[in-house]
Amino acid sequence: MKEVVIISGKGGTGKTTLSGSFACLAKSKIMADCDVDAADLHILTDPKILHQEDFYGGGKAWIDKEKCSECGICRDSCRFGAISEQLEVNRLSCEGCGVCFHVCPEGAVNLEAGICGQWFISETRFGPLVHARLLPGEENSGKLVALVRNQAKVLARKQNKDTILVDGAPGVGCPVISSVTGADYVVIVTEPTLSGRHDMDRALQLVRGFRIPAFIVINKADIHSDLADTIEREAEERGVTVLGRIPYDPAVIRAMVQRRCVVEDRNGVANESIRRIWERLESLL
Amino acid sequence: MSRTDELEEVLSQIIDPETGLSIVRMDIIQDLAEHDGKVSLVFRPSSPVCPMAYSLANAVKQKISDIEWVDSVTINVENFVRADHLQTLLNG
Repeated sequence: MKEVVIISGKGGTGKTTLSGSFACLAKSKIMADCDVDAADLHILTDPKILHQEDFYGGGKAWIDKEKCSECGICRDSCRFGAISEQLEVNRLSCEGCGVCFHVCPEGAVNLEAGICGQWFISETRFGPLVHARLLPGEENSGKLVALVRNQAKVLARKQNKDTILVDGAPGVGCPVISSVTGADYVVIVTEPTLSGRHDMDRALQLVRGFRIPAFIVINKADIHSDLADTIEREAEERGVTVLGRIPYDPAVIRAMVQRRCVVEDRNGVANESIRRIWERLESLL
Repeated sequence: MSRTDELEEVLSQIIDPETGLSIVRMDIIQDLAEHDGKVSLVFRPSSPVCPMAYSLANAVKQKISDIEWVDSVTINVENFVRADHLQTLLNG
C-alpha cells in the first residue's frame, strides 16, 4: 500500500483538480481530503456519507463566576485578547493555550474540550473517501488531518487497497506537515508564477526535511512558458522529477462548474496531460 | 468474555492524544494473540516518525501487564524509525 500526498505550497494551483482526476484514474484506492480547513474534494466526488463523528479539539477557557474574584489577571495575561473587560471568554478568539488557567489565583478558569468539526467516511462514485470539516474559527486542523489520514489507512488495509490518494492543504504549516509526515510520495503542484515558484520551493524544502520522495507537476504551464522552463530546470538540478506539464485549458473550468473531474470528459489538452502524468506517476510508485 | 476480548477492551482505553481515538480503532495494535498467559502483539504507529510511539507503546505494555492472568508480554514494533530501540526497551 502506497500513500501519495498532493500538496502545492501556493493555494489555487490545482491540487484538488489533480487529486480528483487521479482518483478517477486510479484503480484500487482510498481517497483522503486533508485540506480540512477548506475541504472540497467532496464537491467533485459526490459522496454518500456512511459514517460521521464529531472531532474534539483543544480546550477552550471558561470562567466559573462563583469562584472568580474579578482580579483581571487572566484578562491581562491573555495574548489573544480573548477575555473581555467583563471577564467573558470569546470562544472564537480563545486559542486554548491555558495561560489564564495557570495564572488564575482562585482556580476559577477551566479548560473544556469542545467540538471543532466533524469527520466522515463516505462512498463516492470513485470509491471510498475519508474527509472532514473544521468548524469556522476552530484550531487543531493538524490533529484532524492526522485522524483523516489514519482512518484512510485503516480503511485501505481492511479493503486491501493499493493506494491512498491524499489531497493536502496549501502552505507549509501544521496541516501540511501533518499531511506529509510518514507518507511514501509527495506530488507538488505548481504554476509558472512568481508566487507559485516561490511557494513550491518552500513545500519542496519541507518535504525534503522529512526525506520523502517528491515529484512536481506544472499546471497552467503555458501561461508563462519561460518560467515553466525555469521551474523544470531548477527541479532537475535538485534531482526532483517533473512528472509533466498541464496546459491552460478552459475545459478544466467547465468540468469544475459541472462538479466533474477533468479526465471524465475525454476531450481537451488538460485531460490528455493529466492522463500521461498519472501513468508516469503510477510507473514510479 | 474471551481473553482476547479482554485484551482488546483494555487496549481500547488507551487514547491517542492527537486523534482522540483509541489505538485499537487506529489499527496501531495488530496480530494480538494470547497463549497460556503469554501475550504477543505488533505495535505499528500510524507514522514512522510518530512522536507518541514511546509513550503509547509503554502504555500498552503496562495495561496488559496489569491484567491478572498475564505472565508475559512480547511486543514487536513495526513501521517506526527507531523500532529496534523501542522494541529492546519494551522486551528487554
